[in-house]
Amino acid sequence: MAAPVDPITVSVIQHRLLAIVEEMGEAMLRTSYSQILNSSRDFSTAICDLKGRLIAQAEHVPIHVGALPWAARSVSDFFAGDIHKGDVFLLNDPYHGGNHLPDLTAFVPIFADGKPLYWSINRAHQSDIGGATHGGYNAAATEIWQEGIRIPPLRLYERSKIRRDVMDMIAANVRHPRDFRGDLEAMIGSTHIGERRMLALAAEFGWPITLAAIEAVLDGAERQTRAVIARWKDGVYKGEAILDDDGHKFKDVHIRATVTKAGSSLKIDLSDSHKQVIGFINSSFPNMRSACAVALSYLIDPHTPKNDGTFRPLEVIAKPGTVVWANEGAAVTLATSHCAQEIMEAIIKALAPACPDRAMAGWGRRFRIAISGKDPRNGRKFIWHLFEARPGGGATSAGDGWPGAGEWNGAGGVKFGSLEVTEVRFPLFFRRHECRTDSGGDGQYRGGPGGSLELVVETAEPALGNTAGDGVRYGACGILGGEDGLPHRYILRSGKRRPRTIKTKEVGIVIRPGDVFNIESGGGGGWGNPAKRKKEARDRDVKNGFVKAKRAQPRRPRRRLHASGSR
Amino acid sequence: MIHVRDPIRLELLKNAFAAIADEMAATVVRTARSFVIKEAMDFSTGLLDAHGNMIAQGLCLPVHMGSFPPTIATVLERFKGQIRPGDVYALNDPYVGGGLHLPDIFVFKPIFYEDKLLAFAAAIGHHTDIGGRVAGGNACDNTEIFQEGLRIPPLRLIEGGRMNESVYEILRLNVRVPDKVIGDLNATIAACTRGERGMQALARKYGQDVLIADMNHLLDYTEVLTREEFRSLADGTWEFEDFLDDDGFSDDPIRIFARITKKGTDLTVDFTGTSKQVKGSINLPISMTQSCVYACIHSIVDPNLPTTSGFMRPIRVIAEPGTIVYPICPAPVAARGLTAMRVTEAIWGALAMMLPDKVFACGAQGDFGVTIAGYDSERRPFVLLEFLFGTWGGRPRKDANDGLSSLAVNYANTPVEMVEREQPVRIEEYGFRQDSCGAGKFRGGLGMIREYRLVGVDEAVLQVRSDRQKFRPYGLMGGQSGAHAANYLRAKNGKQSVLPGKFMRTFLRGESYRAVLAGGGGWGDPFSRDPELVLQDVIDEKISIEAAKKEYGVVIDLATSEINMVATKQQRQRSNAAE
Repeated sequence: MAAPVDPITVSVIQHRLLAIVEEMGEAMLRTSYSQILNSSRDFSTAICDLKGRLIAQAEHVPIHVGALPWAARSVSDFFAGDIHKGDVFLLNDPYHGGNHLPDLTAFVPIFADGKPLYWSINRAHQSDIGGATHGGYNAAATEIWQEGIRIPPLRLYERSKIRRDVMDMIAANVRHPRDFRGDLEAMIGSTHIGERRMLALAAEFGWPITLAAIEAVLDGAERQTRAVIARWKDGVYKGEAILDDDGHKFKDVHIRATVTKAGSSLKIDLSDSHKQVIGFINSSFPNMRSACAVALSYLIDPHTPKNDGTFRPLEVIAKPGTVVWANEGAAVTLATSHCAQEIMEAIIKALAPACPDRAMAGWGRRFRIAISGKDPRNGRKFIWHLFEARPGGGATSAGDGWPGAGEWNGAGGVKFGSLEVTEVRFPLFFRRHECRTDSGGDGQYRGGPGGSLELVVETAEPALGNTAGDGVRYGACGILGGEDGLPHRYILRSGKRRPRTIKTKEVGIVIRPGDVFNIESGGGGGWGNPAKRKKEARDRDVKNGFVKAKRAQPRRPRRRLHASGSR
Repeated sequence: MIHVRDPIRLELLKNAFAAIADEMAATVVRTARSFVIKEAMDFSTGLLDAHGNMIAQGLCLPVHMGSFPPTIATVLERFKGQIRPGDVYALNDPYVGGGLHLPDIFVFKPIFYEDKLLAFAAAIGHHTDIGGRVAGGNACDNTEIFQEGLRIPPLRLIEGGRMNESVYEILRLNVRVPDKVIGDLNATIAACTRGERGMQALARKYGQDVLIADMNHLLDYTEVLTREEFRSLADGTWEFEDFLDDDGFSDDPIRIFARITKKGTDLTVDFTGTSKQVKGSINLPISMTQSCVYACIHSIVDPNLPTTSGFMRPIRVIAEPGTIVYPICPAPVAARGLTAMRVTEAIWGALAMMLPDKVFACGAQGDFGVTIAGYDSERRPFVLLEFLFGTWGGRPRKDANDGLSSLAVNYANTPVEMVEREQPVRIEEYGFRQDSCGAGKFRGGLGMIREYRLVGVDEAVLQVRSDRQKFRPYGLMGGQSGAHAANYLRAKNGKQSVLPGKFMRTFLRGESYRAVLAGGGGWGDPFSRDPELVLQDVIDEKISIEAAKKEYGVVIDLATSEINMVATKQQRQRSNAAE
């Protein structure tokens, strides 16, 4: 039994833990090679214990973090009794604790008195992971083998010595081995910082106090979370979210959540969701659990640390073989966005009537283009991911949604890349990049506007594009009477050819030199009855250009694609 | 000249090496799990000296022959000074490892005797799946190597007897049928262990130094024999071109051009003039191009010539980087077996100019690769991968063998019963295709027909690599070309549609895919064919009565099944006059 620790020490250690995971993130940001990491921050850092309990996480990409406990457990189990100082472990396989293949995770064990106690963890989205298409998102995939290299829990460093042939093998399977190695080294460096800082923490307070304080931190998070939940009305709530399609034969793929709130506990049942589909919107188990954890995180006090204690009040029920928990072998790459976002949407919509002041309207769905081609300025090949023209954030009881804040699963954690840096590094020219008028869903609080972007591709020879996303039919959901945001609309103009609308799940789009993309991303969902929106707010919207003048008044609600709340 | 103190011992050891390599091959057949390896025998075994020179090859695939030396070279370079007893090395990558294509995994086991590196045992297996876009690893429509499956650079699969679990686990996860692939991989390792024991036994018997000396002697001896063979041939230059229909993306034919120059005791095969590398995955890695050359040249020399690196010394291969026979990374190569066939056919064509009474007309070789893959009702993956062997071309003194694998690959066919037992398909038809043979004094071989119906599952993926829909297998010395190949799909309602040579599509329950293979080219003027032989072909239903008359000028009486000699004479005269 751990000795009781005074609350001041607990608080100091809690913040130290947070500082450690944040420093891990800073180190990653400053040392990684790829833009997706050093600019768009698509990575997460955390400390877990060997049982897979989340001790601390940095606030980076929420959808990563809720899944890390399963990854940690997977590595602990696989290498039980065979973990040594100086070892570094890796994994990415969604059927072994990963989210999806591009998210590679590095683990460094932290030892106390010769025994491994904690994992210092970095999960980062690689710019390529091999497989059929550059950039990892293969809309044509019908099974995981088409999505990239699968890495089971494995040991990359054995007692500080790299297993070079294993490293070479993984690097041989990605398209940019130099960047890949650089990024992986940055990840490992970041986990070593976590290890060093944890050891310093323990050296300062001694292991007994550190361990006891960590237990107290977890218990505290549980207490705070339960206190929030306890204030909501008991009941059984239902919510539904619908995906456009899976890129193959399935359309209108539904996720249904039945949430039972009793006392300070929540039970989320996703069993009634659509059966597993062909395309890559299926979710792995850890990713689904993560989406549930993220949904809860969005409903509780933002100051509550996100750790194992936070999620103790949560019970999740789901059925294997459904889109939220696909059987091994199914394609899953898009799932960290979709269907993860729809799992969150269904849960939050369900609970909105129980906690209206905490529930947030939907954020725009993801719709990303990855372009691969050759830069005529230096003859080098490049792969670029669209992180600009981010969709709008959802509105809350606290105010309007953030403009261009991105998707729900990242909730602002993933930044958009600098236009200037992008233009220097890629043969791309941004003719226009601004907020998209009228895209945010109306409501007492308006959804954030999406982006409007005109992009010229300045290559000398044709480039190839792939897309991955959803939400050209269904916009971000409004809640509690708020309207849905506008869906996405992407158009490719190629010379004198007829402009064509890009689909959300396409591979092999031929992009000719000088082609122009007109990208209009969706806006966030509105919160509350539009009739209640204040006049000053509407005037401000017009002045800011978020809303056109003639529309700056409550409209008759559009046909609702989503229904929110109980049904 | 070389001086061998004990030629008897050298002869004994030469045969011992070959026997060990064959024993390794037998080990693979007896322990492998997949059809491709245990039935179709798409694998090879060999022994290499400590420097990576080949000293023996098992009785397996000739086109694998030349690929051991360049691949072991990448291992020797990467692991210089770190090779220890109990290690096993593996690779499959054509660009960093010198490999053939990703499904072919090479394994090498160093053989130590008294702490000294004596030799390497080596094996290649063509695995049923290697991950990637399309099950089976032979898709034609990949556009870069990253789509083709797991790339394995030279690495240690087993370190000092301890399995590299990480690599095994990666392999297990990245292939669709891990039990088969790991089982087959272990079969090739077992073969290497067999080879190790055999070589160690020889070292015990003869002493290590003697063995090493005789390995060197054997290489020199092979070179001398090869040069003697070459010396006896006339000097000169001979050229031949053949074409692939297309790469599955564009309709452009792809030219394979071989120029053979023989001067003194040296022989050069120059592919300059061959088409550029293509978008689709039929690019042939240079190590395999070289292998094709060695396999073809070996077919025209004394069959007793040992298969060692010494044989390769007098042979030079010239190819331009960036061509289909020497692609540059990351060009896709998965379905390069097809191009290997055409390369061998171009080389044989040139050799036929050089040695008209020795070389066969063009066969319809192993062009067809068929993959049917999907999931059974319990979501377990299955992969049926078959290379349909074709038929030979007419020979200078004999008809072709009907339905026999190319000389270059020595495949066996997979029995219908085995396929039906293990896979959710029914073979509706398997047999010879009447009139497909190219007419000649010695006719070409008959093509085959194989029709697969999907019966056990609702849906699968059907992927086919084939060719010869436009360019037919050539005849020689007045012999006719063999018939075109074709692909058909028969819907459930019986409606038949034509499919292209290279495609991938969804295959539904009840549909059937019909592979119609090309026929072999004929050798010599068909009108000089013995009418009795033509009659026998008609009786055997290999050719029709109409073809007998049209192609051979032989008129057969339908009622009596006898040759109408008078009419035949008239027919042959008339046709000759018409020309």
